[in-house]
Amino acid sequence: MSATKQFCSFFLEGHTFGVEVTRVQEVLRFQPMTPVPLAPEVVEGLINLRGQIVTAIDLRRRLALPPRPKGASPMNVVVRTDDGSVSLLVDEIGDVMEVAEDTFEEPPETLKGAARELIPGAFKLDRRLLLVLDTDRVISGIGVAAGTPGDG
Amino acid sequence: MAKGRLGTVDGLIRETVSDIEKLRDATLSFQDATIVVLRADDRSFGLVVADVNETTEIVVKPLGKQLKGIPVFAGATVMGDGKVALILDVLGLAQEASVVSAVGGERHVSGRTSAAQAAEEELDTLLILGVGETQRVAIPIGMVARLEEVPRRALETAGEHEVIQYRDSILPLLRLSRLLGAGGMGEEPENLQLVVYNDDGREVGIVVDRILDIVEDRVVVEKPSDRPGLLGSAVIQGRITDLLDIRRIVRDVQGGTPELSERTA
Repeated sequence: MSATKQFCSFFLEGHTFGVEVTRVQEVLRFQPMTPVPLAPEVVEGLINLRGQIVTAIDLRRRLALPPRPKGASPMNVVVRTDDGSVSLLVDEIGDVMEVAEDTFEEPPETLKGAARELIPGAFKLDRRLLLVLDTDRVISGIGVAAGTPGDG
Repeated sequence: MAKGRLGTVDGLIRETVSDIEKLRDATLSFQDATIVVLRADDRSFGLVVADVNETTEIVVKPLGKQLKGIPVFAGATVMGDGKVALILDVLGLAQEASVVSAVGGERHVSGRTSAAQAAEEELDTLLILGVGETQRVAIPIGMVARLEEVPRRALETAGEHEVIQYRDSILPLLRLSRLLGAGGMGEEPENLQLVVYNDDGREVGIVVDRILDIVEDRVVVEKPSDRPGLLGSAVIQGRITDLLDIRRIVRDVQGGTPELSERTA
């Protein structure tokens, strides 16, 4: 049996995404956010995580996906970075999935533009694909200079 | 208007009504204004706000990499109710609003700060402290983070060192009178005067007998000192004042001090 990897999965616009479990600090339900005026558009706001102030990124915007339906409460996938923790806002949190490394493949042709740069590939699951998120790229591409999704 | 866009008549009406409401709200907001008067770079300006809630002590936490570059924010904090609040950077705000000239830009003659003037005329800004009965010592203000008054009963000991709990961490204390070999003031007062000094990110609290003044004066060292901890004496504001080699004093003591000022995680 080939080597396996574990991914924390979550859903966005019907797609299943995964982040390596080692990068995930915690996942939690919707947290009230303080918006930050003048921040890059992908920054939805700041959340209070037991006294730690964490920046929340709207992953839909970051991946150039359509906006959340009105009234939807996003969940938080908090990832560790060099500069502290960052929360990725997602539709729903999924299970931890164990995948065989040899089932990794190139991202599908249908994936274009911004999303393609942030998704290095996918693992084949039962009836769908687990799209792998390049966490570092997702976060490093945000800055006051860069601003818009799809930069960097 | 929305030429070539498919939509219901209903939707169009709803959009128009919402635009009108937004316009109305925008104009109404100027009828009753609450203004907070701020000062940046020697200029005063008024900040129009919706409401003033309260004055409170907070702990400033830095913003993440994605937000650090925004000039109007200095950080964020968690309020008593658990909500996150942004902290405004008054100078950044003033610069963004063009109330003061931007960093590196031309300074208008009238906008000169006293610090700039002091630098030009080669004046130093010094914190004058009283030690023992009559001794006066001076520290450059640039090294001072904060001045605090703490009740004597807040003092605790860690090992052989005196410390206090201060802002989320442990602040080691140094007694200046002891360091300089000056006698104490006799009866110890209820409250202690602390000069919080920042040495490369680590903070130390220097216990002094009296905080006398902050002055701008040209410092000419009259009499270089061979006593450790002193750079020399000078006449400041007409009085003989010892200039402290504060960096050396703190480092010498800290050499033996365990990592007391590390934040409690």
